[in-house]
Amino acid sequence: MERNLHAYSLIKTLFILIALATAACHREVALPPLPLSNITLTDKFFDVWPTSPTRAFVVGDRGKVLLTEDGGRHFKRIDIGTQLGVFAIQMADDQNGYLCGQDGLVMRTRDGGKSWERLNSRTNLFIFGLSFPDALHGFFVGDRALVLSTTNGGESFTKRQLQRLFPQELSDYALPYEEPVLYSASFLDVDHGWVVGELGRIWATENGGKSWQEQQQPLVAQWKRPLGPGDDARFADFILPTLFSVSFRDQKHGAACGLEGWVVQTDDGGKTWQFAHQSDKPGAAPDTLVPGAAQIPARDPLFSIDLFAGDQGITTGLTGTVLRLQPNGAWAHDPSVPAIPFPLSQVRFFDAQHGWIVGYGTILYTEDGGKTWRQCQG
Amino acid sequence: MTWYRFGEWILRWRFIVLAVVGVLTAFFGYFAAQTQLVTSFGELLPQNHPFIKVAHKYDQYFGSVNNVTIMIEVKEGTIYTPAIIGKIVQMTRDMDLVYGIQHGSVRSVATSSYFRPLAGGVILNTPVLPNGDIPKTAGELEELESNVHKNPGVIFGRFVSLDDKAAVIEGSFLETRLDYTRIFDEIRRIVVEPERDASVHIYYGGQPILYGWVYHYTPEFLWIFVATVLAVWMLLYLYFSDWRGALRPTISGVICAIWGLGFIRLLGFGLDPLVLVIPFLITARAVSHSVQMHDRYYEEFYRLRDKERAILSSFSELFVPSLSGILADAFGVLIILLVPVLFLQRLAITASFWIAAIIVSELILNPIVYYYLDPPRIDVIERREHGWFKRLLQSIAKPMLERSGRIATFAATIVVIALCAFFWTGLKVGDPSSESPILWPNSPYNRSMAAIQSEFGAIEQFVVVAELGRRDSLNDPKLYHVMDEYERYMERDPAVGRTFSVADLLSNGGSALREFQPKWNVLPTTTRGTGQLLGGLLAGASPLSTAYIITPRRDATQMTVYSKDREGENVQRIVLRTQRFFDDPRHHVPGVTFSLAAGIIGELAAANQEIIDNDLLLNVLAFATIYIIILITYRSFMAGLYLLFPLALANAAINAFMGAHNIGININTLPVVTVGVGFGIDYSIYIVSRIIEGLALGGDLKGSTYTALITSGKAVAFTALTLVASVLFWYWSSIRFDAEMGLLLAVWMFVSMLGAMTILPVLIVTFDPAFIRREKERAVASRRPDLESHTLAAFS
Repeated sequence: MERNLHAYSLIKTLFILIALATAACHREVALPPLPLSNITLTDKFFDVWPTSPTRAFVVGDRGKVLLTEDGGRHFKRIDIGTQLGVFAIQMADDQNGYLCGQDGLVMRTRDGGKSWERLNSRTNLFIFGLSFPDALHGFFVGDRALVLSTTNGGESFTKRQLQRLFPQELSDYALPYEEPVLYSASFLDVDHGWVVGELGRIWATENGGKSWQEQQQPLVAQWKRPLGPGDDARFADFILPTLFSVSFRDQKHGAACGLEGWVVQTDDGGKTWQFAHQSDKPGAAPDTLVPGAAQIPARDPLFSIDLFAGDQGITTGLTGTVLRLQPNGAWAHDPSVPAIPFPLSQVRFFDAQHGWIVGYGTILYTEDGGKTWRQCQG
Repeated sequence: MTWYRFGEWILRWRFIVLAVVGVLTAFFGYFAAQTQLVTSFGELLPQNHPFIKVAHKYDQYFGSVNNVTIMIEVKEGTIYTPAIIGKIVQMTRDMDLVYGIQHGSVRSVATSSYFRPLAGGVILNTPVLPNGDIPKTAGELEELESNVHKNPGVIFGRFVSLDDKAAVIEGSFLETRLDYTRIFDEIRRIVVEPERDASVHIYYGGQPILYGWVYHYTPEFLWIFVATVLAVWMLLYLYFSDWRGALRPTISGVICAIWGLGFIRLLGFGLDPLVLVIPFLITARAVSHSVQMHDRYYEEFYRLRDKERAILSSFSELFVPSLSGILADAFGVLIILLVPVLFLQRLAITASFWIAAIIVSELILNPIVYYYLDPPRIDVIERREHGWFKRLLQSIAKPMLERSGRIATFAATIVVIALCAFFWTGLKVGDPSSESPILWPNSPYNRSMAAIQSEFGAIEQFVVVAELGRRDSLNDPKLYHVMDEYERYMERDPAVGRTFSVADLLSNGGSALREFQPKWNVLPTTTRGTGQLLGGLLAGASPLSTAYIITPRRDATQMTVYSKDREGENVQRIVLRTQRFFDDPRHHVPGVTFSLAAGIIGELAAANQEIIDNDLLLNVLAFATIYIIILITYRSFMAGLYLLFPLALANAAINAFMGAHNIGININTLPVVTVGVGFGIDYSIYIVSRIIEGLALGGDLKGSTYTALITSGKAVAFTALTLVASVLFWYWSSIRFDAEMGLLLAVWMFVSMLGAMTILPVLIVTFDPAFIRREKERAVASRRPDLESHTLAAFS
């Protein structure tokens, strides 16, 4: 009996040892919840719209809409119910705002950005830019020369294609120049606005979009690039660089930027446009580059431009390029912006001091007029 | 009685036995002389595992594990100087000359191209370095830098570091032409050394380089072997005070090594330098059995004063314990056959044969060798019997078997079990840290890998293959959205540095084809849009040049997750997250099967999973095998439990040791750990058999146990300590893995010995098991009075 008890104890000990070993060895690896960061390196931010010195909306790829109310120290993600890319946003006032994006995406908020409703844009084309001079009147521009306008806050849209109509005999040759992409719009009031796009197109309206005039013609004379063997002289004004962004500070003064790092400016409401010069650093003499001349190295394209605070101007582009408008009219590389080798899609200032730059994986904020910039971490 | 007759038979037919063993030894020796050091990473992998099947199916295109990465880093400035760009171009060209390179797989900034938009809608697909020309002027260098920066993720950050101070050249090697030594040598001689100068650091890593370093260090093994043999000889001589004591175990070890090595070559296998500790271990087992036999022969000779009778007596008494110990070891190792890993299955066959060869080299040859050797001098035996080692054992054994000693031993055992359980929890499956555990942390290889990781984030690939069941699946936009969502999901895991898939190229391509406007950098949502972008991406490129993203047959594409390291838990987590992601119905794409997984992380995951699946089973089966052999030996169900207790303790201790020392269970350590699972059982068998013998000669249980401890136990303790001392030389090895495995096995043998010398005799004295009494009766019945002219007391 006693021997059986001993044997039982021994067996029990062995089992405990084996159980301990098994429990210790065969553990399931833990799957902790993944950290959810609002700003990651793989984010692509396309636009920013400040509504106060410290409050701003940022939009980007995969339906991302972020809101900060403390100058970019914290961001809150707003679920807009889509994964489509959001290309542009504008708050017309405290409560009413609009955004646009991929596949004809147009949305509206009536509660200061808390919730967004999708509007029927009646198109699947990409809509790249928008401009609302007030809560009811607005314009959207996009692929294939698309212009959508609304006069009732998005309840209905008027759709049109803003493109040159070629004579019948040129139609076969004009195919590459038809339906250029329109990237940006700038409306100062319900009547006056400008739209820019592919192949250097600049269109202006003085009657709320009822009629449009092409304005890029003065630039053609300045553009000295000779026609190539395959170029058709009848379309010589279509070899201008694509313009990606336009900004007007008043009805006279405006600027647009685009491919090969070109900035074009007007001081007469667009009757005449001129290519601007660049300088290596602030205070340096402007370059003497002839517009259209081959550049080595090729300059980065510029994607956004903002004229603000009376006499200030800033533009951003590929590989972290940031240029500031100088008193002498040239655009100089801004050394105060951190070196970020990624595309910077949009720059916007709320006032003379507070401004934002957004791009791939990047949100920058300044509260001293651009002397220093802070990288927001989300 | 039977074994006595068998001993007599061997002596009578010694010429024939010698001739047969001699011929067989010559036969195996012929093959052993052709032994080659061969290692193959592929053979370490479970070939039937679904991950490995996927990896093999696509390794020509995606996630080859035989990648080499060379990084050139400038000491001052950036890479954008004519001299440094010249080096990168030259290294890229030279890489293509290395033996076994998969032509077309060599990639660097020198082979990259980008889309260049011009005013008027013209887009040029331009090589970053047109015609491979090296930029010379400041303007050309600035243009190159600008071109690199325009392509984040594709060139910038992938082939050029984000601080512009380093660039990498990558290439894959063909599985069928993997000659690690030659690849390692040619990469150093042709690619690296000609470009190395005061202006740059050059680092190189990858699986072929790792194994190249292992081969590079193998000449050290010779010195370690010589030092070990000398040390063992010295210890044997000190123990026996007699050159025969050193010679006899050496003969045993050498013969079984010849048989073992010859058998390996005979089957067409090679000796893996990473598991060289296993032959050492087996040879040490042969030496251990031999010491036991030699010790007993001296004891019997002292008792009987007759060489032939001493030979037969020691042979007959030790034949059963020795045989069952050897068989337990051999069958325990043979169990590894169940693991579906080619390397382990080969190891199971060769190692179990090698162990079984000890039966010949030790048991069969033993009576003959002693027959031809002069008998030892009596004063030499007496000196051995009264040395400090025996006195030490006597002073420990006596109090340990008393009641208080037994309680203390039980208490100590419980403490040890608790400690083992505690440290065992630290044991990890896979590599426990970021550096390769094969080499020391400060080795050139690990320093190179750390430098590459610090500049480029992560380079260890985990590849998920999207197998396209339908022709139109490739144009399905949902496929790319799921791929993109997977990448973004995985990038949130801290072990993941970055990800890459054709979805990135597709959205980047949208932007590049539209003058780099960022707003075009989105994934299309229509079949038409997807087809257009895909066409832009693939048009004009040869199917082979785009095979790293889409197979030439257009039937599969891939997503690559770059892990920061190979840590077991990280590997397991990456796999689990991936499986859960693709199990979610929201991520199902019609006609597409997402298959895991190629790349080094996928293959390690398969191996780790196989280890987890088989580890417990292997241990249970190995223990069961040993249990059955003990059951047959002692004809008792309880005997196995008593004898397995120290072995279980040793296994627990070894797992705890690995947990405490950050040594993971992985494809390299598993063979060593599994082969060793039954080693040490002979210690217990020798002691228990000697206790039974003592009882048969009329002793009481406590007295017989005491005698067993200071006779058989002495040999057990000596061989264990000899092994511990000899493996210390492994710590000179530049191969960290061998050093750690040597230490591990030393700990293993030492704990086995401690268990057999402490808790086992205490258990027996305390519980007085019935099988001991039954075996005693059998031993009494088979006694030969003519061999008992002296009493056992002479030795107590």
